[in-house]
Amino acid sequence: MNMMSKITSNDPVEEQEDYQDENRFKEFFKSMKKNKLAAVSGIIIILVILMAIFAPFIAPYDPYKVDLNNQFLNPSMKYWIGTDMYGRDVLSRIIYGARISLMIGLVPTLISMIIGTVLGIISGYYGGKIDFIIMSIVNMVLAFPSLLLAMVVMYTLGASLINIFIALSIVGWGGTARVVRAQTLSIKNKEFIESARAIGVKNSIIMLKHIFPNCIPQLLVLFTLNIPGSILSEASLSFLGVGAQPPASSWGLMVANGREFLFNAPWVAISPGIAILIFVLAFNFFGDGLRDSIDPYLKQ
Amino acid sequence: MENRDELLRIKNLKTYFYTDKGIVPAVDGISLSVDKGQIIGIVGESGCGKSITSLSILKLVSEPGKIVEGEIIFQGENLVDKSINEMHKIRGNSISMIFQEPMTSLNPVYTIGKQVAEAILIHKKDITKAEAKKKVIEMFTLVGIPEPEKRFNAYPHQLSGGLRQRVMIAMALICRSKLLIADEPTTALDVTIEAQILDLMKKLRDDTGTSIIMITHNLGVVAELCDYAYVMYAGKIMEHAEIFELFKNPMHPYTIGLLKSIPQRNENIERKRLYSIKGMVPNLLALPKGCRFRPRCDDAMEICSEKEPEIIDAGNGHEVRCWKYL
Amino acid sequence: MLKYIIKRIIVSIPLLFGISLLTFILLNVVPGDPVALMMKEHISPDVIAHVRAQMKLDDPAYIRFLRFIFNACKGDFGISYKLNRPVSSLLIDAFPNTLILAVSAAIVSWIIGIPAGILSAVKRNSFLDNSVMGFSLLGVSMPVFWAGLIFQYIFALKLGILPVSGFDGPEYVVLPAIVLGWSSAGTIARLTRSCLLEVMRNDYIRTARAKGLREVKVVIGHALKNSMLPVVTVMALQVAGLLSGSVITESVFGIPGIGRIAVNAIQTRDMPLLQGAVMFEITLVIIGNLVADILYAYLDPRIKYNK
Repeated sequence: MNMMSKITSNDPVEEQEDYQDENRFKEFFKSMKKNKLAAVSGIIIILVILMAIFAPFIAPYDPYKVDLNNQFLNPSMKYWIGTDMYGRDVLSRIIYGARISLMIGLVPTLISMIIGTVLGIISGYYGGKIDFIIMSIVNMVLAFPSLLLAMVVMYTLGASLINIFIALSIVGWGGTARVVRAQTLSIKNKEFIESARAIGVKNSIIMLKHIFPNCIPQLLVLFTLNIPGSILSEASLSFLGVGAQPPASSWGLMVANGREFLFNAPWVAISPGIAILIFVLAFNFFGDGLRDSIDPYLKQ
Repeated sequence: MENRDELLRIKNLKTYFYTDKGIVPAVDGISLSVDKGQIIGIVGESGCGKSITSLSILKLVSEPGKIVEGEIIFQGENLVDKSINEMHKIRGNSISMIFQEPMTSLNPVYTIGKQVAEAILIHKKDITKAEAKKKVIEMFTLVGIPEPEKRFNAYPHQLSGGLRQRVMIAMALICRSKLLIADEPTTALDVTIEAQILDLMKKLRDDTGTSIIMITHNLGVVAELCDYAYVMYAGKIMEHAEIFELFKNPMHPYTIGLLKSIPQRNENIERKRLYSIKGMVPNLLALPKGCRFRPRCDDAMEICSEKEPEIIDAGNGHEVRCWKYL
Repeated sequence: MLKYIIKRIIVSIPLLFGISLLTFILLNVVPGDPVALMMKEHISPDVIAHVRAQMKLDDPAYIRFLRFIFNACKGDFGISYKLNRPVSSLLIDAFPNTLILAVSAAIVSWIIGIPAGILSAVKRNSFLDNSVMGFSLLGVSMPVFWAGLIFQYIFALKLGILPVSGFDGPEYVVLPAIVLGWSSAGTIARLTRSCLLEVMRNDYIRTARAKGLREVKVVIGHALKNSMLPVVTVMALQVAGLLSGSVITESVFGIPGIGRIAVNAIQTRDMPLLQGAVMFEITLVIIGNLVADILYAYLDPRIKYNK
């Protein structure tokens, strides 16, 4: 009942359609489209990316320009989200802040996933002492509450945006390493690896050409789902004062700076938070949808 | 011929599944009847809709399945019209059901005594727990569970498959159901245990007059237990008759094929290979035009690819859905 | 069972050791003279050298590390650079506040999360289910500090029914506990829902329905008990996580807990204080995980009855 048989066939024993590669992609797109939330999120993500790239053209005002005559203006037609304590247009700062958030979302996540993937594959493939050492380090890193670890690293390096990249890369690779290692272990014992080794293919080639491609679907999902974590971490760190420093328009920093004026000018602190929320939600929904679409593929 | 001593009559039942890939007509116009004290069998391959038919009776079909048409008349009332609340009163009470997997059909964290007692406590609000326990032990004795008092406090994993199925039967019959639906109850059991369970079911029918609908793919079980049998294929009844009549005089090519597939231990047979019906169960989303059995039928005629045959009365309470007998 | 517990404890020790090493390396490899930073300006180099010798900062790193471990086991984390009090006493003063916050937040998350998860599972794919799941996703996606500010704005500043910050009485716990518990509630709801759905697929659930049990009874009587094992474990892990994850909430609401001490220590470059706070939090987390493991072993009869 699960096979698609040709409708007008007189002989049902005739070939059933295999799920070829192209069918898999079609299924994937179909299910993504059906998940409206994921589709909308995907569009939002693209919009945010465009907003970040074209910030100078979209932002109505200079986000850094101080104008003390215009402090704390209410949201109006002129300043859609009002101005902050230095008279800067909040909307422009948020638009420029998208750049920071996007960079933070993508770069450290990418770096930590690369580190995690490499170490995970090596650990899983070679096993033995190497596996033990790497996994012990992973366990240590994972046992460390991540925000705390990031804070400690920032203490060591000093508070700045660049250092956040480093800190988040260090904190994040553990989870990826575990997942990749598990995947490696499950593939390692399959026959085609044995035969590759029997022909004399080098280990590094095996890892690269055979094991790694099988990890890609899971890595894709992991990537999309880890991005929100990085964004939230940076926002938190900047909020606490150990992250980006003024006058950078990091969304987290904006919330921190707007905090003391919460009663009089709530929009200063609240609107960057909304931006964070929308961004993170979009990635979470998209990642969820991605995972749901890829899952049947993974099961094959 | 109605109103003999009819307990259940299903008229043209259709249960369809509304899936992403299309509408699956799992049960596509089934009609059958069960008399008081009668054991009928519903035979067919996996996926032919026999389980769904039985689940439909108790309205236990889960999403995305729905009863879209038909009547299920039980003791004069149409079950299809009943609300869920009304069905709660019927389930486990006047109609009970047991399933195929005794291993997993019992909740592992409660004792079997508690689970069987629950079956009667739900429906008889005025008996005490102690009285319920007594009844449970009575039932255990009736279904042949040794040391019933001790077993009351046993957990499912401490019992064998055969014992567990007896527990299931006890649970089903503790409210003295008029109708027991048994969905492949012995398929997961050893042959010897199977024989014991079938004996038990016959005995229960003899002693208490409970009607039984026996769902199985095993013609041997049908022959052993049933008075009357319905042969199902791809959601429709292909043939039905009294048991001896069916085995002596099978008419539908499918039934004939099923009978031929039973391995024979007769030295006179020159056949060296086991017979199996050619082809495969059709995809219900893409049924062939005309008779749905036609692709696998040795006797297919031209009309078979054009029109689906209707039920034809062959006399003797024997009916068949096949153009051969027009 | 006892063997299992002992094994788990033994495994935790190297973990703790490794993390201490990691922390020590990170915090003590800082360039820049901590003494000079700590003291006021215009101190002569001789005084600096003298203080350094007194604090034994010139010993090789591994000796300092061993000394650190040795003292830590005694509960001595040195003296705060800035506050001139023993770190351990500062931590001990702060710990109850963090504990109260963490436990309150955990309770909030269970009260909201578990019923929500159950409702979601029972009314699967309905509007209710989707709303609950949407809310839980919201809770996880919302920056905690921002949620804190929103709550402060609405309930403290605008409505004035709850205090903005501080920790002088039970009413001070309400907002922080809700803010902190809100995101954990989302996780618990999702987990409860998926565990319940998993259990509901079992055959014995079908049997229960066939007996004539109403759906509510089926879920609560038969399904729930079977699905709570992973949920309870996560609940225990959550408390452990909340103990260390309260950093932001403490900052937003001005609660004098361990998290806030850590943040202040970073801002004032008070290394011993930061080190003590971090070590304390980590130990709490490891103990919390241990307790969760033991709880799991106790509840799962397969492990409990396994010699």
